Amino acid sequence: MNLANRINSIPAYFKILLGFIKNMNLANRINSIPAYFKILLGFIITLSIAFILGVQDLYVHGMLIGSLFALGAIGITLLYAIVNFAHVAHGDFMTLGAFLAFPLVASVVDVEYVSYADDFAFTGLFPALGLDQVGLGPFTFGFTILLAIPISMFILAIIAIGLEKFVYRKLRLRGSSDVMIAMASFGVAILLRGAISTIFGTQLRSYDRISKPFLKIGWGIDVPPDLLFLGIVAVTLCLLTHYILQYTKIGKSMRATSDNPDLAMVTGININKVIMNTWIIAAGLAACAGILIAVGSAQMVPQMGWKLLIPIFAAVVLGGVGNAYGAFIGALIIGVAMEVSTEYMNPAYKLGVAFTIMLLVLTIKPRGLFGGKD
Amino acid sequence: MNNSNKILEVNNVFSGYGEIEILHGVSIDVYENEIITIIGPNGCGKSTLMKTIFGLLRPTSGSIEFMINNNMTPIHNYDTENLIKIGLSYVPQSDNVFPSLSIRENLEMGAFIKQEGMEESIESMYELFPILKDKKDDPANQLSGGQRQMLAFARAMMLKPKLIILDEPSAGLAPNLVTSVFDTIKTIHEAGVSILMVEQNAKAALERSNRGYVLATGENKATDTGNKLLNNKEIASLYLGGK
Repeated sequence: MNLANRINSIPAYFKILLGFIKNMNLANRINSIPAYFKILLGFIITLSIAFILGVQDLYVHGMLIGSLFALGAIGITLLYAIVNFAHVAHGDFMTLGAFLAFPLVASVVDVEYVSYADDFAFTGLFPALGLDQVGLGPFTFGFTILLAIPISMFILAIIAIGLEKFVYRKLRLRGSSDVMIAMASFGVAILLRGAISTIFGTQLRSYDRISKPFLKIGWGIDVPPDLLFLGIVAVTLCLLTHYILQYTKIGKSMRATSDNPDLAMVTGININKVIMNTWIIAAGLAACAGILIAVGSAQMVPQMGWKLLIPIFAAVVLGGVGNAYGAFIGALIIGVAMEVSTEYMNPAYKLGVAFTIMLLVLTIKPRGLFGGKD
Repeated sequence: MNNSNKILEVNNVFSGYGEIEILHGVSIDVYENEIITIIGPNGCGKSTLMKTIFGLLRPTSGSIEFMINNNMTPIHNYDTENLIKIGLSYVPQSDNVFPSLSIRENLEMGAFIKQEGMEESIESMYELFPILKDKKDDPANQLSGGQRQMLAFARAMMLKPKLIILDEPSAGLAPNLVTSVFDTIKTIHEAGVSILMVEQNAKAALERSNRGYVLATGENKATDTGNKLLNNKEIASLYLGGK
């Protein structure tokens, strides 16, 4: 054991290299980089890799689809941060949002009703009013869908308020645990899905549409113009949510309640009002997400939201549960991962890929990429 | 000092959590511009008393009156929002800032129920505590323990209350910070607020108080001026760690 000899036998260049690494203080430096810069860097690096691998087309698709997921993910994460439970019915909120728009915009709505009653069909509200345009510009849909979005958001927000008042608040007041309330939302999920199947039937449906060619952006990226538009709507709504959270009294009271509900109470913040506002925002975003996804995938079934819930929860956990910005970035990552994976494997494994990414990240950062709420 | 107006009168209050009664008839008076400290052993009901005065617990009997427009008015049925409106403010023992909100936003939350005049209030808080202005855009979780306490007091001061209730302001702070917290209390007192506090650090608190109350097992045991309580041999040996 001749330490001096051993140290001397280490090559000089290796010692210099080691000294460099030590001086760089890598961990500290990485931590001091602002988060938005890291996100930008991550975006540029992954996009470059996508170009090198020739999957830039799928990458862009994934980003756009991810931005639709983000609408749902932000709702779930806000509800977790403020009302403190995992809202399992969020996927079915999205389905309901899509189906609420259906009788407004469809030229023919055939209602299956229940099996023993006569089926009947009627003209959707907007076509009945003479607003039955489809194929607006380069898009497959008409402007009627844009009218339907706020209406559906509004109705779903009212349904959410009703559920909060008559189900979730009652349970909270009786001292149910958060797990119990999450289970209750599971019940609500099944109830909503059952109601949708009962009224609209279980077959594949779609809003009125006509096929349109893909938009050639260049560099080998072709996207359906629909998806581009939907992505822009989704990102706009996310920015609006960001504005509400950061700069309005409603948003600040939401963040304060999420931070410290007891202190919020002694400051005179009405927690029940804050919870209501959270439901309104979450339900509005969910309704919009449902419609956008139904337009984007050109189909809707009563189970669609349930299937969407899985990648959306993955996005929420990936970004850090309770962190709205984490949910947004998490949704983009999950979207890209799912789409890009289809280049290399059967699309049936999309969800598996989403969860593998989530698990890998959680082993390194157990509280999600951006740190969540305790 | 005592010939000024009474602003809070707690009269023979019984209170507790559900079935468990903790206060068995406590009476306390606070006059304008006073600093009052309540001391007593752990579990004697100090925090319960604070919570009862601030309406977080409801008294089962007895009355709590507060001066509103020169009249003593019963307030034990007021909700939090109304208590803040009439000039009461409460700083909880721990977790008394919003950690992820910026310092400015924390102050804004102090004026949540009444937004007019908020900018001036924020400015006057920055004048009182310049360190808060320097860090106004930082999240509150980046403040040191003493600064955090400053922010908590400043938030409670935002609506210019008549009385601030402090639940153990020096709890959980490093010993060298305790003095600075009491200096902060002095600062807000000089800004024209009465202070009612519960404090473990009895000696430091009583030295700076006009009067003190000693509670034990949910009842009044003694009351006197701060200095007299400190010099009272019996109380010192029982509640101040002895000589």
